[in-house]
Amino acid sequence: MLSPEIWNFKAPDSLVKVEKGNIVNNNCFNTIQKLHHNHLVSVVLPDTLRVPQNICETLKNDCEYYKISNVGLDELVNINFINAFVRKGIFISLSINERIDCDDCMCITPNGFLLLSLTKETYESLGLEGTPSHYYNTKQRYVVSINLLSNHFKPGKKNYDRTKDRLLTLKKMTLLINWEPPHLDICPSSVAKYFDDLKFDVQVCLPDFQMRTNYTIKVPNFTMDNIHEFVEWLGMFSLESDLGGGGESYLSTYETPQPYQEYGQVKFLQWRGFFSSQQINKLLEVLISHLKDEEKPWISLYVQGFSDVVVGWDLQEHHYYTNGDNGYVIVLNSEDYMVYQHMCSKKSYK
Amino acid sequence: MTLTSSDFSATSKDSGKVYLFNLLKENLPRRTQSELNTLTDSTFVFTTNARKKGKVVRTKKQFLTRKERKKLNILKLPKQDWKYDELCEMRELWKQYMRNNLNLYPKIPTWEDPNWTNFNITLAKSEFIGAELTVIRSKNVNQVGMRGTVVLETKATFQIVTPKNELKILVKKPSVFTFTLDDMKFTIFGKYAIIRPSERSIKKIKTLLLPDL
Repeated sequence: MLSPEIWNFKAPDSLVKVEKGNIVNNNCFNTIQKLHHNHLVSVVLPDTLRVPQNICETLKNDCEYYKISNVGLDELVNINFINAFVRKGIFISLSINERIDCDDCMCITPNGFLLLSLTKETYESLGLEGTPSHYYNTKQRYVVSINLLSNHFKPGKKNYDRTKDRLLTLKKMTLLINWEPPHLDICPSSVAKYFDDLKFDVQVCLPDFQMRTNYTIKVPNFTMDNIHEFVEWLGMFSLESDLGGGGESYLSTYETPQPYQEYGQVKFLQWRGFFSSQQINKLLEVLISHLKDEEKPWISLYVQGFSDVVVGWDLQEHHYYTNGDNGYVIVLNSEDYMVYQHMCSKKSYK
Repeated sequence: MTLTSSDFSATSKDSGKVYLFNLLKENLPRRTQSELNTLTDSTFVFTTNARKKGKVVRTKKQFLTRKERKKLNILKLPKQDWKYDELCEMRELWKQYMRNNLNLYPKIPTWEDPNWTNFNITLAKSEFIGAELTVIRSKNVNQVGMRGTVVLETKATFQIVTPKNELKILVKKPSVFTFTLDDMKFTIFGKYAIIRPSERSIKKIKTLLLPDL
């Protein structure tokens, strides 16, 4: 085969799910609850001169997350740690700088599971029971799941002792952690203090916030019929692409779909960090109240998950085939809402 | 041609021969008859009767059959009453044996040295009873981390006594074992050690093996 027919390959599968509903029935929060490890959040506010302070502040205040370098995973099954943080409040964590398709990754889900996605070699030398990954037919990857909140998972029990013993042999990882305390009078930084006392290198990370204003922008009208075109426009706008359309240009160009309206100012807000689904929930509540107060035509919220996290939608296994993108767009009208979910392909490797 | 009386007095064995000679004399052409005399000394297979098989007398056996050994429970080691501490002497003996074995080499070779292969063959041909083995990698993940002294080696298993005084039977094939001797650490891929210990000394060992399960 001299020149493989690369143009003949099928486009990778992409799963898109569109859901429509009424805000009063309050279903739009369901989607948010399904994606737990969120990386990027962006909001588009059309026809807005001043962005209300509370929208900007929602994901800035008390949204610090911590980066801990070189943690042995046996620290995470320490019973003091489980009782203090995992049992109370919402604790999420994930490993960074590890690739889901060729390295060993870990994450902690809000329901208290420590999940490890391991390569064959690591799995065989770790010695904890797991299941072969759904995506690899050749059993090249395994998923080990440890229930931290189980009643039997405590010192003195055989399973606990063995788990802790074996996790000691695993290589150290760099983790991101995010903890939401059960009461408002407890500081979220206590988790950082805990790790600092154990002489780990803890760094505070603040979400990276960006705001941008575009002037005289043609904005397509939001209706339920042209959803795909509308989401495409949102993507083009968020990436600051050329929306003008060349007309005569030889290269392919983009034009704003008809019918459109021209607004003087369109605001674009973007947060980058490590957010739990509760924090996104709060932001959506603020956006809904803002929409009711100011009577905007629509507001959109885009959330993207991490590509190298062990779980994707609804705590199902995640992988990286052609992309590792999980995300959703929520467009709110004064009455209705639309959720546009895109999921990672569920195709398994051959 | 008539038969002589002496011919009749012969044994039944000879009578067949005489009959055959007479038959040949009657039927063969005359000029070849003189050559018949040269055949008198030879024996004919079909004139002699096949020897009857004598009864096989069983000699008294010197060993127990496998059936008997199984009945007497000799094939299996007892599960209880092992003392890990008491096996200390055995471990020391094995270490001494292994040191002697490896003393043939002036220094431990690296993979670049010419006697690297010989060193490995010496290692692979030595005995493991008494060694302190640890499972470092296994397809059977529950066995990872198990440590103990080998008390019996069969073709497919190592049977070890753990520090908790339990007898464990470890299958060789899905596991990787390790042992330390002084400041050296050795790794054995069980997959390539599936040989009956008694046959190991004469088994040919490949030099290139894939280090994967």
